[in-house]
Amino acid sequence: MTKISAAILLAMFGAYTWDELQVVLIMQGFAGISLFSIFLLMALGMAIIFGQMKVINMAHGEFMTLGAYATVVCSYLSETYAPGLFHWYFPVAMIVAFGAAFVLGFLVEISIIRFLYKRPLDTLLATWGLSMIMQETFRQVAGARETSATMPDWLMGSWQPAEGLDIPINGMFLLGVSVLLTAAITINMYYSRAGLRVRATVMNRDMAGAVGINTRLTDRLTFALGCGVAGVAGCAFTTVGSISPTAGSQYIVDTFMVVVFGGAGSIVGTIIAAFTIAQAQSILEFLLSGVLAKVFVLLAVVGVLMIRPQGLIASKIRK
Amino acid sequence: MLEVKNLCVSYGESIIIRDLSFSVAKNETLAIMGRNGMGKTTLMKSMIGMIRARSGSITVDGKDVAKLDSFQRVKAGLGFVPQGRQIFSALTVEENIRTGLETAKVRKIEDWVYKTFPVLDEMKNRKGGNLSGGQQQQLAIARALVSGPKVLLLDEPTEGIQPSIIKDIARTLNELKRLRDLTVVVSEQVLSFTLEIADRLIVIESGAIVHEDPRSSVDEAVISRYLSV
Amino acid sequence: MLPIFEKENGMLYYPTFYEGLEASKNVIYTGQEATQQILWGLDWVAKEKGAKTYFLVGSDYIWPRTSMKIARIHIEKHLKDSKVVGEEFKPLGDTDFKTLINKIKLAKPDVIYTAIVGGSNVSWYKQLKAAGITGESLAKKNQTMLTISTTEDEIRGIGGENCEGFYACMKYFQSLPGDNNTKFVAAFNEMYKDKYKGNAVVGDVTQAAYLGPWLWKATVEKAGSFDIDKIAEASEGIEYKEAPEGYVKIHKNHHLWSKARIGKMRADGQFDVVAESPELIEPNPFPEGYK
Ligand SMILES: Nc1ncnc2c1ncn2[C@@H]1O[C@H](COP(=O)(O)OP(=O)(O)OP(=O)(O)O)[C@@H](O)[C@H]1O
Ligand SMILES: [Mg+2]
Repeated sequence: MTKISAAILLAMFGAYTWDELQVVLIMQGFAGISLFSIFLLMALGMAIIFGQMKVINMAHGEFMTLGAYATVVCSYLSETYAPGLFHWYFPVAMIVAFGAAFVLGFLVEISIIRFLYKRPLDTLLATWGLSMIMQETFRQVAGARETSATMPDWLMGSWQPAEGLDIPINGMFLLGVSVLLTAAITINMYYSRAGLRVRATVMNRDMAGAVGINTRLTDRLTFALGCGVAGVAGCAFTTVGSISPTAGSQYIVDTFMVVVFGGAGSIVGTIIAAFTIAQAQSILEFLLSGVLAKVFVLLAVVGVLMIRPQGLIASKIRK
Repeated sequence: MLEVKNLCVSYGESIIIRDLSFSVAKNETLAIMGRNGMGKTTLMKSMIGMIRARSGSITVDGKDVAKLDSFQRVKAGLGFVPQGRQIFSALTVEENIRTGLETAKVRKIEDWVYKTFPVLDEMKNRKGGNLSGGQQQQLAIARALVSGPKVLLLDEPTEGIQPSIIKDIARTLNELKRLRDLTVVVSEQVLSFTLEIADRLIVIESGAIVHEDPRSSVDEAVISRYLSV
Repeated sequence: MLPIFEKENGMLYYPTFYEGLEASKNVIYTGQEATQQILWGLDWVAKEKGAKTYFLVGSDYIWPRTSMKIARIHIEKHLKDSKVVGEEFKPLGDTDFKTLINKIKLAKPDVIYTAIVGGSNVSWYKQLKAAGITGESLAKKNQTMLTISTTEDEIRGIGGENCEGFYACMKYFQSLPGDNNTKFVAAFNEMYKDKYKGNAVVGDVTQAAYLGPWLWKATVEKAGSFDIDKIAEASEGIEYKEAPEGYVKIHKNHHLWSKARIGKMRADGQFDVVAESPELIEPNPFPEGYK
């Protein structure tokens, strides 16, 4: 089997030695995995919110941007005031990013979202408006220029297990963050009291209230949690990209695609969707080109959704 | 212990409960009887807060809860076993019970729960949705009781349960009443079951009380007439 | 935008990189048009680095697409034994370049020629570094990365440490020697001292924007009028001898005669200017044979 595929590959890339090819293919495999972790990080927060209250948060990308700016501020502060600790500012930045996005999410729920439950189209519009307000605020406060956080050395460069084989450290870092975050959320969802409240509320909101669960607070905290997770994603993305007031809007389409494809709100579905889309995207890009890969992936997703409008993993819970 | 005064409930324009008043003394069991569609469930849901009343007051142990959210009413001392049980089907039996602990003083499942409902102990880790109707009924009662309510509201607990088990439910309820020091409001259509647990019966028709009897002087024939179509 | 200026008969001094294929009475193009920026730079890399194979990378919109078309034609028709071994465009704002970088690694081009803009820039440079592609590692294999879109302004966002050793072809760099530029940079710093505390960054586009008002002033003085038609008429031949980039002159086609230069990126975010076209290059927005 390996021999055959090796032969096929050699036919395709005949001009290369097997060693060369092997190295690039390993790196390419990692490129797919790291795109998967990016998609997963992007989509987690939105999936949590959508799964809990059927609210699509169009300002999701801006919460990521908020987390990213929080990271820039942390990097600046630690560079200026605590250069000795600069090496380790990143974990702190991640917590700050989570906190900032969580608190803002909480306030947004109180001031906007809670008036719009049961009016899905209005939440769409309201959160879209919110995204524009946030973008403008970023522009006013931080300026329109692209910025980026200064990375500590340990987050840069690559790990070289063999000659010519470079595994990007920021890619491994992203993978680690997304795995840990997903695990933390899952464990919290299935083994904590807060998680039990969330699950009961999702399954039967009225009944959850009638057994004594504060469903409104549960909604509020879940919304804030989803926003906080978006903030962590934004923080993590400063290791690979830049930050600008509109950076978030670049992520929203992919995020949306992953969440809807995965079955809108189930975490398992989100993981599967992120994996599928990321692999398809990176393999197609390798064989064809970036733009074509995007086109084919979008077409495939639309096609699947036409056959299965409920997404890959439909929630089995009746409303 | 529970006092309902001038309660009006409606769905949009159609008024279902009209100016209804009654009160229940401590440790009393009041049965609310009425044919299908007469407003029993609507009354129960408005007491627990799943539906907001238009006007009127609902007082639990001296506290007016009519404007509160459901969970606050649970905190104030109401427990609710809905019609059709409404178990969280994807949660395990144990998790279902734990949902009732939110407002409880002690946040763990105490021994009496599984002692009273041994079958729930056996099925602890099964999904709630996989239980039989009778088992689900026990689960729904356990879930409502772990919050330590003063007043237990039961909406048609015998619906869809075979006659032989109905007697068991009556016995369990009477036992629990004593054990947990409960006041009970139960809506029913099955007279024989009602007579085994109730101290007093009221009959509602189109959302208003049309008849009332203490247990001691129930005229079964009259009540049956109200219940037949 | 152009139709409005033409309809309302206004005057636009337009400073950014652009694709050419345009000339208007109502516009003075103060940046380089595509051939000015591209052709000489490619000639330089072919001659100085002996490059034969090129991998073209751009953001997916009209300026990079047109630029790469011109570059490809020049490489294939005018550079001896040279060929394009890959050409890829990424959506604007895309932040994932790992796959593309792997393809470049496989293709092993002598030159990676890029026109990536905006937010993508940061991802591109960071991921290059993470994949082990740096100015140093390229130099070892006699490879070159040459960009037409990264100025000092972008490097500030990317971080100089991610860019060191890569090349850019522009007409202006902040580090350009000469009195004109030294004075200009000092004055710029003085003007924005509150904002930048003496660390202002001036890139190619900023300088091109600065030329606009001076050219307009000279034109108005020559025409003796603020009338747009007269200004348009009088623009040809206007010189600006104090231009930070050196000397510029407006061509009949309303573009500027200017020199092209190659800068090598430094870790501090500035460039070492390593080459300069000997003569002013004539602007040619409608290049024959490059369409
Ligand atoms: N959500 C609703 N919207 C509008 N009308 C409703 C709604 N729920 C119930 N009704 C109406 O209110 C009336 C009372 O219904 P309710 O469920 O309270 O009756 P019930 O006495 O509990 O009947 P059953 O014995 O069948 O359970 C009925 O006419 C019913 O059609
Ligand atoms: Mg009913």
